[in-house]
Amino acid sequence: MAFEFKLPDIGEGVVEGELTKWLVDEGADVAEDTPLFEVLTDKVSAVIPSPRRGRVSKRHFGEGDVVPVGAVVLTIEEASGSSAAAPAAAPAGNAQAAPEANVHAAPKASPAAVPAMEPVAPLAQASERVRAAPATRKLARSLGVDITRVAGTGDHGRVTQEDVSRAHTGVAAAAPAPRPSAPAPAAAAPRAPAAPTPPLAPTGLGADEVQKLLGLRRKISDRMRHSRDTAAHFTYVEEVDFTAISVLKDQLRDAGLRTTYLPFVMKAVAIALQRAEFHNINAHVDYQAGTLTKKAGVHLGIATATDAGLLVPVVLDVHGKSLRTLVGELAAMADAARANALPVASLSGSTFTITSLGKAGGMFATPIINQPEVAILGLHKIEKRPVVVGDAIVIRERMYMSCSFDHRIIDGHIGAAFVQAVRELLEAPALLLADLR
Amino acid sequence: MTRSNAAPTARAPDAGGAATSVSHPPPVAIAPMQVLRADGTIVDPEFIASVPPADIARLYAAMVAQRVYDDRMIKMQRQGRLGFYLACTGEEACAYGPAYALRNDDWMYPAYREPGVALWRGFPLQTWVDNLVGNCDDPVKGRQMPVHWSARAQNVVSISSPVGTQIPQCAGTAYAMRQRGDDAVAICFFGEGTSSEGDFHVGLNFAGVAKAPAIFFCRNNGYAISTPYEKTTAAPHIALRAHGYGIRGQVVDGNDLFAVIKAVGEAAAYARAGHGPTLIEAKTYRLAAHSTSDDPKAYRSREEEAEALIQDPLPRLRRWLEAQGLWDEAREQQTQTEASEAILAALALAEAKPHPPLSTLFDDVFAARTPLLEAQALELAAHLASGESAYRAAGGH
Repeated sequence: MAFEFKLPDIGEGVVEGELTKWLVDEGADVAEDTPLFEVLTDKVSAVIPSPRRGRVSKRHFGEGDVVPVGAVVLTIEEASGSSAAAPAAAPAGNAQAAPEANVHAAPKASPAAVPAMEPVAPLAQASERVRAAPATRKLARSLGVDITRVAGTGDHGRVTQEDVSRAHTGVAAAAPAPRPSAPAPAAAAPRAPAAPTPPLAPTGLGADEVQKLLGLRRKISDRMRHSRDTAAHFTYVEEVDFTAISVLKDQLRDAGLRTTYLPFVMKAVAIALQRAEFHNINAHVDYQAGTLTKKAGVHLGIATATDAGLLVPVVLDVHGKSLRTLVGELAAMADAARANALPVASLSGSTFTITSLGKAGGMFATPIINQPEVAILGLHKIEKRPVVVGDAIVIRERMYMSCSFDHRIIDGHIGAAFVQAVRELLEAPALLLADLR
Repeated sequence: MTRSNAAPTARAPDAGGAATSVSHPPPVAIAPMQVLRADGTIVDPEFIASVPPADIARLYAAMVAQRVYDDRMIKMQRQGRLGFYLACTGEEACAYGPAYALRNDDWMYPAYREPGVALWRGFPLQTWVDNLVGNCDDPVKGRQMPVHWSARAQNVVSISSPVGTQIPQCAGTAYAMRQRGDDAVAICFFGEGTSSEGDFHVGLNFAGVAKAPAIFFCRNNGYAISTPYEKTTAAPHIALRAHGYGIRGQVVDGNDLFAVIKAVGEAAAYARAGHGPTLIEAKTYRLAAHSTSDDPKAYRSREEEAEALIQDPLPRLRRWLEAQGLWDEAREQQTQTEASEAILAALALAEAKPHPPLSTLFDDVFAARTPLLEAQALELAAHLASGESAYRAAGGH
């Protein structure tokens, strides 16, 4: 029988630990109390002994990985008749069934549990391989220091708190890439005192509701935080004339193909991204490895609101698909999202992300990049606005686009040129047609 | 067994028991009381002769077993089978010594590192383990963290997490004994860090004024979790504070089981004779981590820990017992094996027992449930019945 050993909370309220050393190999026979691995948490460094007798069939994490408490660290094929099997197995089984277990599930252990972002998170996982204690990582986050860029002076290159502090104080001189809007020192700025919470709610409003950050929400939080902490965001906003697209859209509708504006934007983005001068934008960055991978195909993540929270399903090969195909795929995707049935496979592999708020789009925003990508395009509300054409004021369909870039990779003029290229394609759909496949 | 009060390092308490005058304050002895030194030197042969050697062998066996239990519990916690644990390792003499020196009807207020005080008095190992696991046979019904057990039948009062609360409680209990004409005494245990808490002052001052038959047993193991002694007080000894309260003070070698027995025995005799409380400071060392949530590597050196091993209370006792022909390697092995088997059997039983029923959450604060509690109980029952959530620990339904 397979026993899945989950990382216990070895110090009151610890949420994760770094697996510092494996003490057993896969295939090794272990007895009860055989030391399995060493783990370093915020509070303690400890050797974890085996609760069972059997053979180690799988190690689910590598050395240096940060393991959430409750995640399956290793699987032991139990020798028959192992003692204590029954009582200890029961809670473990129940834990899996409990809703909150999903939060803690190891990425590889249960892909279905958190379909959300796992597959599109290679950078996040890569950066976790930096050797540092959780407390050190927390310090780095609070100081706005990118821990993946700190040279570790501890054992085996482990990044220490001193390293982080040094990187923080020397950040301006040492950082090779500019962080123009880096708010690092702001973290230390005095915070306005929080307004005291009234002990009793005003009549009729009931009590405040405290909610735990679990599951998808927790995942989204971590991803957004990570993106903000690593990428040097700058956002470029431009107004685009959608009148021509609007006419095309109506013609298609009359011909029986109902579509939104999104497929047009997707095609325009794909065509622009395929131009040589914008290849760096259709790319994945791995800062730890120091590499930028320019992606051959254009696979667009479409940020999608679901009941559970934000998901980013992916439309693959947008560069090679017809408008009609895109319309069909987007409709199917929307249905699946509503039914909470987006397949896990559809959530991975994007090379660029589009986020669209439709009618609620407002004027502009500062989208956060979906790591490890290097840019994200935000679409806003299309509305009729007065525009000066020649010397006349005319009414046109207009929309603002907000495009955030990672300034570590994308220079300002490249990002601006990209947005201008997308604008030109959308304003003169003939150009779009010229490259349409 | 009679024990002399004429300790070489402590002046004898006032023989007459008259009210202590300012000119004759109770003695405070800061030279550590020792009977059997770590190097085997016997300082007080007369005292050793007063204790039946077979008792010492039993005490030693219990201390060895305690170390086996502690080792097992830490492993259990690392395996995710216990929420929390605090080991006694290195301080066994400070638990088993006082337990032996006192009568079974004396009151005990342990801190959290002395399960031995109850186990020595016959607190069942199974009940202790049931508390650690938090199952349906846990005397405190799974509501407390592990280690916060209660042993009513042994006159050992429940353990509180806030440090020092037991000190005024002990003073009050001792005062009650005196008021009642009962000659039982009360002892409480606490660390040197706790002696900086306000409750320490409240308890000792009151006990001093009331001449309560109390023993304040401070285990000075050098660290308040991670804070070294030097950073908790500027005083060279905790026992010196006895002066300020006008009570008797005694420093004792806390790794010397004989000395601890002697110091507590003297303090008890002093208290029973109506002279009032004693503050005992037992100098010892915590060989293990403060708790499973602590990692001493972060704040003390390996050299310091290695040096402390010399003072380990167990080896010196074992050498003495071996010299008396009362112990050998075979007995050592047998004791460890038996302790290991006993604790594993108790754990297997404890883990197989269900959790306490959830419905008991609403019991015990009021004799009868108040309407509000009743409503909450109904709400919980309805919530559980709705199947809205799955609960891991819902042993009650």
